Amino acid sequence: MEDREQILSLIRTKKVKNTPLFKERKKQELLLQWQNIIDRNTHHIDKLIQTFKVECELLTGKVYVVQNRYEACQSLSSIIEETEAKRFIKWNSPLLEKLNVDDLLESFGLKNMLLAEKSSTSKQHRRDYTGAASKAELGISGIDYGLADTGALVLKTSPDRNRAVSLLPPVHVAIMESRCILSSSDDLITHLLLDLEEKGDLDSCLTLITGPSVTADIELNLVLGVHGPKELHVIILESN
Amino acid sequence: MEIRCNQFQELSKKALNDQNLQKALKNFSTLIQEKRNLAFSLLDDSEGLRDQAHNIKKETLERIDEYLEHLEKNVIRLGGKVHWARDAKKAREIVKTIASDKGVKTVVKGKSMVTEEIALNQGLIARGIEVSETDLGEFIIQLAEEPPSHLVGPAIHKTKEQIAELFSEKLGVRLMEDPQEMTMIARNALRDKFIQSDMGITGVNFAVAETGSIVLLENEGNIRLSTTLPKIHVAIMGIEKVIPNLEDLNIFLKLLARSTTGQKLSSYTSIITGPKRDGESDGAEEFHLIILDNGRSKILADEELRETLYCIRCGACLDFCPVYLKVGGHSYGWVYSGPIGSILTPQLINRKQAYQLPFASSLCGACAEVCPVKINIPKILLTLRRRMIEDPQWGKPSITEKTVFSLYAYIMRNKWLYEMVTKIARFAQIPFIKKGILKNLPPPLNKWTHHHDVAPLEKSFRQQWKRFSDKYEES
Repeated sequence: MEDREQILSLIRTKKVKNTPLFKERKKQELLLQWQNIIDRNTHHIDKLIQTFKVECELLTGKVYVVQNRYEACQSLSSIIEETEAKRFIKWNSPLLEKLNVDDLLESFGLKNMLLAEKSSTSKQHRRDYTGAASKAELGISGIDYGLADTGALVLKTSPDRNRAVSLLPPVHVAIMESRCILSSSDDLITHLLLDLEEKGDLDSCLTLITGPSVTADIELNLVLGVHGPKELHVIILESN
Repeated sequence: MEIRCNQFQELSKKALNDQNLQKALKNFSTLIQEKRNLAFSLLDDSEGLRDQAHNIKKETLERIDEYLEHLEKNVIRLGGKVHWARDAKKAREIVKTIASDKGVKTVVKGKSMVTEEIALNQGLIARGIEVSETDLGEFIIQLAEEPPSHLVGPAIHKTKEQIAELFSEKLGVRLMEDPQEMTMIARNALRDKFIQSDMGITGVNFAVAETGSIVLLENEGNIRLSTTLPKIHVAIMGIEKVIPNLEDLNIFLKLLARSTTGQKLSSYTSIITGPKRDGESDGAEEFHLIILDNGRSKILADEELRETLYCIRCGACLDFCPVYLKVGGHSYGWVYSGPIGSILTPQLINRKQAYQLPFASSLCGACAEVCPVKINIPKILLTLRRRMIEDPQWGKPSITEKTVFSLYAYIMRNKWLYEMVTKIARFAQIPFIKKGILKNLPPPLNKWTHHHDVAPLEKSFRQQWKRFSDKYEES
């Protein structure tokens, strides 16, 4: 406590300020703003998909724009065949359920590494969990948003959406609907502010991902997959 | 780490003769400057964004006490713990106490300059705790037992042959040439560490007061692993890292990666808000935030120098500095190098020890031109120089230097004296001209010619003008 008081007394500002510390926001205005963003994006959807694809592919990501469940499964199948994956971990998300991803994975005989692993606080369990997840060759997520101008994926953590899927396996497949493509981080911030208004807090972890894991620490040579995924695939299902 | 700032001249001489380093710095700067400039040219209104970032830092620091208290309140509400550390020793103590309370034996670390600043690794290792640096560059220099040579690329001074030898010696693998192969060796060695470790330690790029979040940027994924797999996450931030809200974060995210590597965004940007929630299967169960002063409150209190705290550690000022790009990071003798090191180091450590740093600049202004938060580094360099010359508390005022400059000022103000002195000097200089350059002047002027190539005095402008106009009239 002593250090706290000392530091605060050293940095305490003498001037009394009457302006609020934080910008005041009105939920109604945010909702309106969000609605405008959705309208604008819906109007430009083809352009947004195209920009996202270009940006993501500049970073060696592979983007598949598909029209229906059948095509989505075809893309996923080709990824499984190419990578020769035997084990996977995945999110539970409505989109993945809608696409029946589980059935497809089963038909290929892939093993779900986290099926048996439930959350627990014991140390050994934690190691078992990460050890098992680490063996998967494929991580499949049903991401929340994409940002067109940077080709970024937006992933929010929740009990059904762990952090490991986009991090531990060497291949990450992200699936989203085209209506989830926002134009830039400006749109995303409006969404997060609404989240904050509605839930009171942000999710425990929000990650923006652009491209695969990369390093240039040895003589500036670009090497992919230094700690996280080496490959990034994004399947975009065009919304009706 | 041992502070060697007072050896700037010796260390930079060594660096200038190091062919590998010179080649590495050349390659590095060519690439990074081009990428950074391209990234900024594609950004709408980059000037406006830099101004906004500058103002956010300015206004936040004016009420930093309130923002830090707000941040603290939010982190605690979310289930995290907040610790305050007045200096490096206290910060190390806090980490050691958390580690020993929880029986932590192994720690994984994400790249963080502030942990270098407080020499955290040495402190933990002395307690028998195994610490693994996990950023590839940091991993390499930890094996080599060297300090980082760049804020962002800690191992840019090493060639791949040197790294191959290092890996072979320390990791017992065969000599390999391919960076890809070496990187995979590091990946496998470190993945096991991540799974086995009980604690992950990271720095903080931004702490958002309104939401109680910390934000971390990286390209490798090692920071995500450090915050996801171990049970305990300890994040360490200097007091200046706090920003008010998400709108502010948006501005900085547009600038930081572009300034650092020329990317639009880093591969991974994590916004972490408290420990993992109920039912979530990964992420740290315990979240500790250490708020560190370590000399920053002193900088904050000094109106002339306060801007130093605006720095977001992007490294752009290093990448464009003609001095840094010749002498490299190690010459600066401590954790922070380049222009930002030259203004930050003397304010954080014993000033007299870092006396040489503010003088190691040509004041060309490249640093200020690229700084994403528009810190006026040249002006701060001049302020520090002035204090070091005038104020015994800051440096070593020299009577000789003061006398010489007073005399110089006096001569410059008197026309007849100026003309007489320059007339004498034009003759007196003749024995000292070697290959068109003035060398080895007698004391006290030798202090100047020792470090500078000085052009000999030519005929005065008036004399030259007269000769020119006479000739013109003749023709």
